[in-house]
Amino acid sequence: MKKETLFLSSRQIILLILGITIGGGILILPGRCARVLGAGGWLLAPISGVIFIFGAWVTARLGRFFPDETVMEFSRRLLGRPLGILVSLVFILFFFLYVPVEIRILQELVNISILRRAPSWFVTGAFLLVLAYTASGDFDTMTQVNEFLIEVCIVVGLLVALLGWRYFNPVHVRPIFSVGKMELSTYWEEAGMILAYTGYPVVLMLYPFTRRPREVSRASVLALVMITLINTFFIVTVFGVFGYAETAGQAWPGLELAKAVNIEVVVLERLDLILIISWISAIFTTCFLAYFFAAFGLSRMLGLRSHSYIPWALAPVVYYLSTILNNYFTWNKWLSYFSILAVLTGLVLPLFLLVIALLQRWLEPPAGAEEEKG
Amino acid sequence: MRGDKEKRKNTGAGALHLFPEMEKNISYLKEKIGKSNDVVFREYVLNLPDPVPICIIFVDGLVSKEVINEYILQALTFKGELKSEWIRDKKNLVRHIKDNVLSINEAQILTNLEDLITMVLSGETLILFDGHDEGLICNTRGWAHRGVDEPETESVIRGPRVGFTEILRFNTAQIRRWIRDPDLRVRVMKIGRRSKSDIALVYLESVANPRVVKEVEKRLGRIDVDGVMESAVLQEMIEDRHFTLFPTIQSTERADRVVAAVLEGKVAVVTDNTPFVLIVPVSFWEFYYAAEDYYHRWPMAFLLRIVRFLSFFFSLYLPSLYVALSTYNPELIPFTLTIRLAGSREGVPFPLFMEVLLMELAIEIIREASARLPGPLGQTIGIVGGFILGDAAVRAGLISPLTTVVVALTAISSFTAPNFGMAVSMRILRFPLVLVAMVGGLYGLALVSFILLVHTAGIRSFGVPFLAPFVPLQPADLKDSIGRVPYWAMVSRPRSYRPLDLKRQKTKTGYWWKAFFHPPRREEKDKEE
Repeated sequence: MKKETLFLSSRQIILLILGITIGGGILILPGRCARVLGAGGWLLAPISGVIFIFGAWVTARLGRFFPDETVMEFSRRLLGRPLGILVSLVFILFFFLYVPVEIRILQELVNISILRRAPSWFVTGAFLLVLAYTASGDFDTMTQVNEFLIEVCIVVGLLVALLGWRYFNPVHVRPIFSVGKMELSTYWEEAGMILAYTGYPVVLMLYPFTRRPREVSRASVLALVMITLINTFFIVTVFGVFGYAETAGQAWPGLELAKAVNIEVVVLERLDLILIISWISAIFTTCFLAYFFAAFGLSRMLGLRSHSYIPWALAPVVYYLSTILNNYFTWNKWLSYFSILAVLTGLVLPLFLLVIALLQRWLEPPAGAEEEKG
Repeated sequence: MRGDKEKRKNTGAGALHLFPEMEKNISYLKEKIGKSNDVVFREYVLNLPDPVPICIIFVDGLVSKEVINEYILQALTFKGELKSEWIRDKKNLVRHIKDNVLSINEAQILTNLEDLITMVLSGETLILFDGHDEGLICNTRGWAHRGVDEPETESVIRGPRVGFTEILRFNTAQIRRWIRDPDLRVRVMKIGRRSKSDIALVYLESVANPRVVKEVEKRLGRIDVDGVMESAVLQEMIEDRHFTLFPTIQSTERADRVVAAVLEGKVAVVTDNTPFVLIVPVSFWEFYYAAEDYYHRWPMAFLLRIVRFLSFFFSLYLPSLYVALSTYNPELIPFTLTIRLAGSREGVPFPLFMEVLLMELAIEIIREASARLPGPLGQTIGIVGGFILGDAAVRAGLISPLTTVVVALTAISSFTAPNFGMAVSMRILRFPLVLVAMVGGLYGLALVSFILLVHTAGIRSFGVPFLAPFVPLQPADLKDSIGRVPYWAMVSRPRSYRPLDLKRQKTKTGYWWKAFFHPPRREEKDKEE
């Protein structure tokens, strides 16, 4: 296949990974970590970070073997048609499930802060329409919108977190000497925290569009490092301000943090509004990118010329799923399923495919492959 | 322009050729254009040893009669001695007349009848010679026109007070007076089946991106209309997105603006018969740049820009934010203000959004009325409408005072947009935004903003992203965006437009943030040392 016309720079790749990863996940991360590991919970953030940095590196390495193809094409070449289609479906399902799972978080955010009595059909429906409109656009628009929104979100989010440091108490962040309850058995219930890290499998869809495929590995590792740092900073701030016990009891520690940051402002009474709006934007970037890549992957897999009507066609399905997930416990269960899918697409499958690709290369090295890649 | 004519001469091979007999030519031309009384056929005889009948054809009113009388007719009346060498060479009489007799600056020989007719109708004078199948075209254009004025729509406190006029040649000459670079290209094409209007493409060949120039040419070449009334006709036909509220081509009356754009590597499209010149490509933010930003010192320009962008935000969002906050999230408004708000709304019969919509509508009506009425009357309507109506409505308890303040502030903010087209887009957008705020509060506003962002990010103006340099971020172009850095730090042309020549001035560094620390005085000192 020929190179596409659009060329992503490595900065854009970093921002795409940040855009799809940073969303609802970071909001639920501190609470879940606190419930699993107790006082040392914040350590889970950097530890998971390291694991997923490795995953991102493996994924990017795998993509470099096939710089002109997305996972939809090369999985078929590596594993044969039926298995390849299965792998493609797993990836598409992963991106697709992102949307209803995140929409549930968005609903909660909207209902507890800006529109208190808004019915969920309105919140979900309106959001879904905007999502479908956005995801049916072209790649270029997608990257640009993401670029703009995610930068603003990160800056605002970090600003709020920094302001929270006025109430920071270092005693709260004691991983070793403090006696906390450690309930590893609950990990399955809280597995949704992975949501704060996954999203990087998107690089497997980006290779044909990148300007310099060599830089992708570095870019994706860098993106994951940034995500780990952001998550760690955020969780340390939340732990430091509230202490683990309080954090564990909160559903939305991030929001509580914003409410705690009380700054005398002249025009607005409270600052959390700005955080919420920027967080809605972050969820929006996550959702439209995931939705776009699900549709895009599907169109690639089916050999369609355009992906633009797929988001509209899938919208009722997303709507139906998000109504199922309205129940917190169902949602949580789905989050756990989703995290299996995330581990599958982020760690297991890339590693597996990489091994096969390496084996294949080892068995029959293609002539001039090294030169081609550059 | 001359080169253009040369080309046409060659392409016109299949068209009707001049006949050798003058009578035939004249009867053909009379049949074609002679039925109008303003076309003059002046027959005359060349006083040669062997007299040659000639005919001078022109359109009365489009030509300068002085030129015809003094430099054509007088020259053709051979009073003095005739140099005999060329008189004998009868075959090349027309060429000799052109080269040796006429004292006119632009003259050429053409043979295609259709071309000749177009030229005569554009104000040139045609001389036909009996026995020759060639016509001599002399440039005698001269018609009534107004002088160079300061444009009313884009006035400045400091800066040149020159605008374009309706005459294409004057306009291109104005640009030429600013840029005396041999690379400045003025390429003329004719558009309009019946109007055959002259359209000039003006750009710097060594700076403008050739792909943009080619694209503009291509799009202009596709146009097939009967007449080009104004540059708006071209604008709507060549813009990138037709179904959008936002203009993607800039139009201006100010010569200095066009010159600055051409220097940045853009392409200007000058249309005959209108002072409005189109500039492509353009980004969204440029509609909020005023010519004046570049004439005041840079800190002031900074302030002006920020004020303008703030008022852009107000003009788009203020009424809807007001509705959203006071309907759904009064807890976000400071407490005392909330009390005020509630107090002022007491007894008002309409719901808040209705109140805002009605006031907005009233403002639109007042604005339109004052624009349609002649000068002093228009101002009266503004005062009557604004003050008296608003005050009366508040006193009657129909509208709360706070709403009046919000709507008035919005209206005033929308006047700060230097570009009328963009200001109107914002006015149109404001209404749906108020409705959305009523239905969905801040959440709805956020969603609509996403749609707006996605929509505008998808727009390209001749290949340039519409939201550049912010989306995608181009740090080197931020020097001239929310504010403006001093001239000595504007070292490069905007990269978003991909000019061929990036460097605007000779400095040690390529980026403004580095140049910022090297003001000219300091560089001088470095040199001395």
